[in-house]
Parts: sequence; structure tokens; C-alpha cells
Amino acid sequence: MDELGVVANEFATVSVSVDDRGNGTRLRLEDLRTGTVRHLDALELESIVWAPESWMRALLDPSAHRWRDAERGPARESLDEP
Amino acid sequence: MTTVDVDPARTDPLADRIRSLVLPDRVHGSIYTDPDVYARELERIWYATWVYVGHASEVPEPNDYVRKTIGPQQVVMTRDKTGAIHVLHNRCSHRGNLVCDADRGNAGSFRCPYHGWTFANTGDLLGFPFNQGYGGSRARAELPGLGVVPRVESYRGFVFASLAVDGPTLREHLGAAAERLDRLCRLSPEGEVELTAGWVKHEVTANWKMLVENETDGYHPQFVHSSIFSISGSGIGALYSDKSTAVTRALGGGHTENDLSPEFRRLGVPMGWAGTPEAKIPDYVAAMRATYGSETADEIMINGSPHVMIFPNLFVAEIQLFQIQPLAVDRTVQHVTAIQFAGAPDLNRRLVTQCVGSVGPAGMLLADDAEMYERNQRGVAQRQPEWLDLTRGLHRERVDDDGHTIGTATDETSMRAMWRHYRELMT
Repeated sequence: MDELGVVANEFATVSVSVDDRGNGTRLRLEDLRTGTVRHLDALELESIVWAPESWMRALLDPSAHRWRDAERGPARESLDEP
Repeated sequence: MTTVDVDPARTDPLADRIRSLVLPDRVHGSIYTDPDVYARELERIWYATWVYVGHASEVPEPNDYVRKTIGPQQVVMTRDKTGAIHVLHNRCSHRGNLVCDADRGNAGSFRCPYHGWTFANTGDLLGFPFNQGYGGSRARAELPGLGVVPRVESYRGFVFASLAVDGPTLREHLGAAAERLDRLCRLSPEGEVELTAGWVKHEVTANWKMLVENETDGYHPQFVHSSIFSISGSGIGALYSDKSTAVTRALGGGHTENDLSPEFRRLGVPMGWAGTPEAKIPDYVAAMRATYGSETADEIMINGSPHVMIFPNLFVAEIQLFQIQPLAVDRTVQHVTAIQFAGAPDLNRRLVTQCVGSVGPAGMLLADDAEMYERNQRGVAQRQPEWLDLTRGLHRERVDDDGHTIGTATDETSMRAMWRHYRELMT
């Protein structure tokens, strides 16, 4: 696995690496403040590249995922992913 | 019914007082120490006129940001994804926390550390945690984002902002001072300066106006800075003498300069103003001649860099740039950096070294001035005599071909001009 580096500012710190342990490469992102990990394959990355700005703005809403109210479902569902 | 015509000036005792404290040839000591005067300065000057905030080169890439100030106000200068520059108040719209803490960084959005409210670098509110407490995400449209400074304009990369919605344009505000920034930029073979050398902050226990006055006071260098001049063998002291052909000039709008270029022309040495022989910066000299042609390049390199105080807070002192920030009536910070010229790496290295020696943490130039500022602040608190004299050179002031009032290199023409402008703004 190739560690590419750490992308950090005063608001977040994320380790970025290319994970080649599977049959192909994928990007591994680790939120170093919590240890939470997400993998992104090539098509997911391409989709992000092509996503409209409004999609990214919606993603940055804390209530959208990480800090959403309990009655709206699990806030940390991404942790359940393989 | 009887109506009474009220003269607004007559109902403003503080304005009356300031008029009595600021006279054409003297100012009262309390103008530097009175908290009521300082409070009005914030409203009438720092939060009303154009104030220098930062330079575009400090946010070169999309989503770069730097923390800056407008007087005591904390602001963030950002460059958004499209390249546009914004100046935002550094205050969360939820509970008022400072949103940005780092001096600089790269971020398309800012998340307040207190409750997680998140803002775009344009100031827009992107969201907040657990939004059911506000009735859901639709509340976002009703809640405020970061405060946006209403007017932001730049000239030659120098970014100014005004907290006032209306007023003169930046170009009108700068007036003749704009040409001094042109003169500065011409010293770059690429026509641009870059403020990328990093900043040193010098805090002094003194009123901000003492610094503004001192920046173009040509009377003090031979006394206050005699030690650094003697150690370095500098010829700067001689520029500020009665024999010097340099002039002090009122540029209008409170902007002033020590124009040393007549003296540099008389001496006729390219780069003499920087104390750097051409032989030590061959790449720079070659690049200048390639850009401008030999004759014009030599003229530019002889005339040198400006020594201009752009009211109220931008001071360009040939090789270094100061940003003045009042914190209180008797506390002021000078943010200072070495000016860097685009396309001039060999010159830039020398300028950084020179600035370390003059205005760095152990620099010998600014430390001298700081000592004078603090002694002055303590001095004006004494009861007698009550006034500070501003008459030096009053009898020999002239008007130059451009209609600007000028005095000799050591005259107090610049102070009188600054105070005239100050009086207009304050009353």
C-alpha cells in the first residue's frame, strides 16, 4: 500500500494512500482524528470528479451524515461497510 | 409648532473636542490617550474607510486563506474555487466563536470547533449538526452565514476592504498613492510583488497614530537609527538631512511619502536604494533589462522603491512592508514582511536577509522605533506641556508640479497632512 501523504488543515486530518491489496487499486482515506476509513475505487473517484458543486456542499453539511439526528437512522453507517 | 434647525456639529461634543485638539500646527497629547477618541477612530476610520487587508499573493491557490485584521477586527481573507477573493469576519454565526485559528491554510469550507457549524469560504452556511433541533435542513436558508465584509477591491494585488457599504472607490481612496504602488511593482521584471516571505509581529504599547506619523518622519532617522547606520555603514542617514534633495510629500487623503528618488537620481547608482551592488544580483539586473530595455531598467533601478504611508495602515518602506493594527488606544501591532519581487530570486534572498537585520525579531531598525513609540506614549501621558509641535518646515512648504504640498526631507509636512485628513474624518 502506497502512503501518499496526509491532507490536513485546521479542520480535519486525513491520511491518503493507494491500496493495492485487492485485484486492483483503490484509494484509502483515513480520518486520523477518529480512525474511520473509507475506500474509493476508480469509478467512485471519477464520479466525485464529475459531481456538481452542490453535491459537495451537501456532503459538507454536518447533519447529512456524521452528525445527523438519531431518528434519521445510524449516523455512522459508513463504519458498517466492509 | 416651533421647529429648530439643529446643526449636527453642535450636537456632537466629541467632534468639538477633537477640533480643538487637532490644529494645523500642533496636536494635543490626549489625542493619543483618550479612549473616547479611539472609539470614534474605529467607527470613523477603521470601520468606515478603505483599510489594507492583505496581498493576493498570500492566497495564490483556490481555497487558500489567511487570517488578517481590520483594526482590532479579526477577518479571514479567502480565495474561493473560482479565484475570487473574499474578506469574512472570523466569527461563527451561531455562538460567536472564532472559526479560523490557523494563520493560513487551504480549505473550501470552515467548521467551527465549538458546535460544528460549517461555512463555505465565501461565507455561506453549509450546515450544522443535528439539524432537527432547528426543524431540519431547510432552516439553513433562514440562518446567517459568516459576516461578509461588504466591499473588497484590489490594486496591483494589494487587497483593501471597507466595512462601509457605500463610499469612495478604492482608486479614489488611493489617489496619487496608487502610482507609488505602480513604482513598487515596476521593480519586478514581471511587474508584480509577492508577500511570501512570512510575517513578524511587533506589538508596542503605543497609540497607532504615533506609528503612522513616524513612518514618513524624516527628522528622526539620524537620531533614532544612528546605531544601525553606523554599524552597517549605511548611507540612509544622509538621505534625511538638510543637504538632501529628497522631499516629504502630502499625497492627499492622508497618504504621505518621503520621496528619496531625487537623491537616488543625484547619486545615480542602480540599486543604490537597496544597498546592493548590481554585481551581486546579475540575474535580476539582466531580467530587468530584458523586460524594460537597458535605459528604462536603469532608470527604474536608480529611482528605487517608494517610502509611502497609505493611510491608515499600509506602509511601504522600500524593501519591507508594514501593516499597522490598533488593538487598543495604547496598543498597536506592526505586521512586517520583506517585499519580494516576482521573477527576482537573487534580489529576494538579499532582501529577506536585510529585513531580518532591520525588522526581524532581533532587528536593529524597528526595535529603535518601538522604543520611541513606547517612550512617546508614556511621555504624552504627562501633564505638561500639553501640546505636540508640528511646525517644522511650515514656513518653507511648497507646492510641486502635481499640486502636492512638499517639504524638505526632514520637515513635518507629512504629519500636518495626516492630521488634516484625520480631522476631516473624525469631525
